[in-house]
Formats: sequence, C-alpha cells, structure tokens
Amino acid sequence: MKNQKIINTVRMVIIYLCSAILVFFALFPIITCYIGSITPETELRSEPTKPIWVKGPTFYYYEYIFGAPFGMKFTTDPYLRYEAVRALVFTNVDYTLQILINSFIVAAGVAFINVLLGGITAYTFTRLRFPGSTGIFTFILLSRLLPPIIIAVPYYAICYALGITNTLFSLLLVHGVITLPFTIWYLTLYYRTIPVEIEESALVDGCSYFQAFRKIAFPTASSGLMAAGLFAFMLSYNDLLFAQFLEEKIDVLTIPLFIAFLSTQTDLYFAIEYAVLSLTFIPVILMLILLWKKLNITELVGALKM
Amino acid sequence: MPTTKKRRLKPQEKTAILMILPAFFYILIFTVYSYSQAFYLAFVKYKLVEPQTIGKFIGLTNFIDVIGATYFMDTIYETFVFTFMCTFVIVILGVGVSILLNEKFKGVGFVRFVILIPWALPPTAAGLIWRLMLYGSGWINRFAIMLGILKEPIVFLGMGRMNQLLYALIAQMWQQLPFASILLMAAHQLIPKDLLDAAKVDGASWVKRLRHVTFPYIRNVVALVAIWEAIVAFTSYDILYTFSGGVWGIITYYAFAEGFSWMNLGHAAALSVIIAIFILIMIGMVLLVIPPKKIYEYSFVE
Repeated sequence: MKNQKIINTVRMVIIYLCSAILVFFALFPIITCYIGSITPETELRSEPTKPIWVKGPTFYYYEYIFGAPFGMKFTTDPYLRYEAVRALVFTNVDYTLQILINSFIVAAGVAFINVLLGGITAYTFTRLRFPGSTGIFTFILLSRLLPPIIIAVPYYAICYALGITNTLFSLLLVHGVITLPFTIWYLTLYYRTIPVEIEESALVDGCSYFQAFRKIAFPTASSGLMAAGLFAFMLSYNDLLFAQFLEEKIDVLTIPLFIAFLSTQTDLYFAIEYAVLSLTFIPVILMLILLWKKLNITELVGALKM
Repeated sequence: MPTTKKRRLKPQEKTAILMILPAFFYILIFTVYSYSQAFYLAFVKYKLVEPQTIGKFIGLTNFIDVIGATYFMDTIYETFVFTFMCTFVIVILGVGVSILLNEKFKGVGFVRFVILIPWALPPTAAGLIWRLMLYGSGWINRFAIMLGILKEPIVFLGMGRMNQLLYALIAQMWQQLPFASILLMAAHQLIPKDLLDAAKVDGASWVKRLRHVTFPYIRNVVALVAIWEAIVAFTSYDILYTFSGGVWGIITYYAFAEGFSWMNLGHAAALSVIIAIFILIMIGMVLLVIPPKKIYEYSFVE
C-alpha cells in the first residue's frame, strides 16, 4: 500500500516535470517576443551577459507602429536619434495596421466561402447517396495533399496574364480552393454526429432537400461550421507561398508576407520585428481560444477509426 | 461525371449532384487547370523577361536545365535529410507527448491548449522567432549565460548549412509537433479501456502494456502521421524562408526562386512537377495504409 503511494507520487512528479518542459518549450519563444518588443534596441544588441529581464521597458516601438501612419514622430530612442538613416528602413512598418486588415479581409472571405460551399457539400455527402459519390469525395480529399507550389506557378501565370496580381481577390480565390477539401472532410465528420430524425420529419412534411439543409441542418450544425470557418481562417491567415507569388505592392501584403519581408531586412531593429510579431499573434491566439471551446478532439479525428 | 450513366437519375440524386456541383467544379477547375498548365509550362520556354519567346516548345530542356543547375543535387540531398530528420523526430516526440497528455492529471486541459499555440501561429513567424532566438545576442545565449551554462555566447547562425538545417528543424518541430501529438492523442482514445485495465490487472508492466496493447492500436495512425509530416517537411517553405532570411531553402524555395526571382516560369514548373512526383509517391504510401474505400466509409458511413 505504501509502495503504491510512492509509485504514484513519482509518477505525478515525472508527469508534471514533462508537462512543464513542454509548456516552456511551447511558450518561451512567444514570451520572448513580447519581452523583446518592449526592450530598448541597445539592450537587445548588447553582449548577452546581462540578465534576461527588461531594463527600462519602452513602448517606443508600438508607438512607432501605431503613430507613424498618423504622422506622429517620437525620438525617445537614443539609438534611433544617432542613426537617423536606420529610420528609412522603418517606413514600411507604417503599413502594419493596413496589412493586418488585409489579412483579415482575405481570411474572413475564405472562411465565408468555406462555410457556405463546404457546408452544402458536406451535407450532401453525409445525407444523400448518388452515383459517383465515392470517387468525388476521394478526389476532393486527395486534392489537398498535392504540393501547393504546383498550383502556385500556373496560377501566377494566369493572374499575370489577366493582370489581377496585386489584388486581394486573386489571393482569396486560391486560398478558398486549398482550404475547402479539409473543411468538407471535417464537416462530413461533424454532420454524421447530428441525428437525422429532425430533417427526415421536415422532408415528410414536404420540405425539399435544399430547404431541409437551409432551415434545419445549417442552423443545428452552427458550431461545427464555425470551427470549420475558423480553421479556414487560420490556414489563410498563415499562408505565405501564394501571397508571395501574387502580391508585391506594400498596400496589398498579408501578414506572413510582411513577416517574410521583415526577415529579409538584415539591418532592421530586432525590437521592431518583435513588436510586429507580437501584434500578429494576438488575433491567432484569440481564434484558437474560440476554436478550442468548439472543438471536440475525438470527434475531429473520428475518421481514424480503422 | 456521374451524369454520364445511362439510367435515369432519381430526383433525390439530381438534388444531390446539384448541391455538390459548385464546390466540385471550383476544386476540379483549379486542380485540372493547374496540373495541365504545370505540365504544359514545364515543356515550353516561359521567361517573363523574354515575352516574344513565351510558349515555344522546347521538350525536356527545362528539366535538363533544372537538374543540371548548380543547386539541384545539394538541394535534393538537403531536402531528403530535412524530411527524414523532421519525420523521425516529430513522430518519436509526438508519440511521447501523446502518451503524456493522455494521463489524467490536474491541468491537462491547460497543457493541451498551450501546446497548440505554436501550431496556430503563422509558420513564417516560427522561422523568424527561432532565428531571433539563436542570434549571438539572442534569448538562448542570454538565458544560458544567465543560468551559468555558457561563458561565451555561441554564434549558432554562423555555422555551416547542415547545422542551419538542424536549427531550422527545431523551428519546424516547434510548429508541427502539436498537430502530430493531437492526432496521436485521439488515436489513444480508440483503445478499448477494458483491454488496458485487463492488462494492468494481469500484471503487465507499463512498457509491456505500451508495446502489446497501445502500439497495435495506434500503429496505423503513427504511419499516417509519419507520412503526413514527411509531406509537410518535404514541401516546407515558409519556415525555412524566414529562418534563412529568404536566402536559402529546400526544393520548394528553388521552385519559387526560379519562377519569381529569376522570372523563368518554365524552370519553376519543371521543378514543381519533380516535387509533385515525389509527393505522389508519398500519397501512394498513404493509400497503402488506408485504401480509398476506407476513407469514404470511415468518413461518413455508419
């Protein structure tokens, strides 16, 4: 009995230790971004013999990002005052807000396409039998596994020919097609968990299949649809490859493209990079919190029963 | 198309086909167009800087040029090294994490949530964060010196390409580990509880239970996760792009660079066809693990 107790304690200690390492590994890089964004650049560039905590926290970099578009000028940073040339590199950081909004527009559009088309298609696959359904379903699922680059090159060629590069619409269209297969798969799993009886009684009462979908299945599946929409939102918000092919002008950039752009600037302030990163994390983490409440893991991966 | 069948469709089937048509056409047009166009582009001259020669058929020249390019062999080698390392590390750690997260303890929900955060962030951000972490004056050096592990900062980013690939692997792992562990975690829940309890009562040790009860049940999911991670690592682009500052990458990077930086869409298409061939082989492996009929059945037929 006592032996059992010791084993249990040891087990708990190991579990908590491993969890702590895991949480640290996941969160430490993110926390450093927030610390870095309020650390003066001189501290970040200095020899790393100093303690990790922030010396003289400054909100200068946030002030710069939010203030610069409105023509505000701050010179509280000594590093900046002496090396005015560096400020030239900053000009594009003015667009951070605009770029966040761009990303939001595209991602919201993609989520909308996914919920609408994905909702109808998944419903049809779950509730109705028709010739060719196996083939079409497998085709839709497997189309997602293809490498995005093989879509990107021809898509760029046609957008270039049509002159619709540098528009958010072209990006939205291609993001829709790469997110849709996952949405359809997820929603077929979701519809399967909803009892079919209410719809059947509606059909008996004289509803058409489309009406049954619009009036009953669509509202009852709202939480699944929302999860699918959020997934699509995140996929679109995180995509770099298509954006990099399609968008060049600063006012149509999206967030990943902007981060890639910052990463290629070797003499940019670290603190500015941290501040931009910190800002882009906020919407994603909020999405994840929303998604977490909607998401039942076993339900999502129910397809793996084999 | 389903409508090509001779017998008359029931009204119910007509509705069904009408309802899936929009999404089906949307995906079909993109896929068919992209594939045919990628194949077409791979066999013609398509340099944006020489518009008068666009569309001239040049046979296999694009493929020969790409394979003969100075970067090609090194890149293929690095791509395979990266893919293999990523798959191996992520699957091993993923199984470990999934075992941990299936234990019942206070705060397990919190841990499950927190480890998902890196997965939700843009991969571009993952690459940049880890580069900033690894700088000479970055957080890893700072932290190690503060704890007294290091005396002098290590210049991680000044080392050779293989080392860089290894550090990029950390970023890739940070991004991809949560997804792999969540999938594997769900697989654990497929194991009948009675079976585990019976083994426990019979006095099987933890390792034996893992080996003989848990593993046979999650084996398929492990294979699936491995192939999925291999595909993700093989086509990895965003993380390496920001990690290297847009200077180098594995094979997808060169497809992008050929098309966009060097303005030769023919070469880019040839490279993407090569990538697609590798991916198709991997998809073939997925289908060996789960036949298509099963995908359909398990997805929605009771």
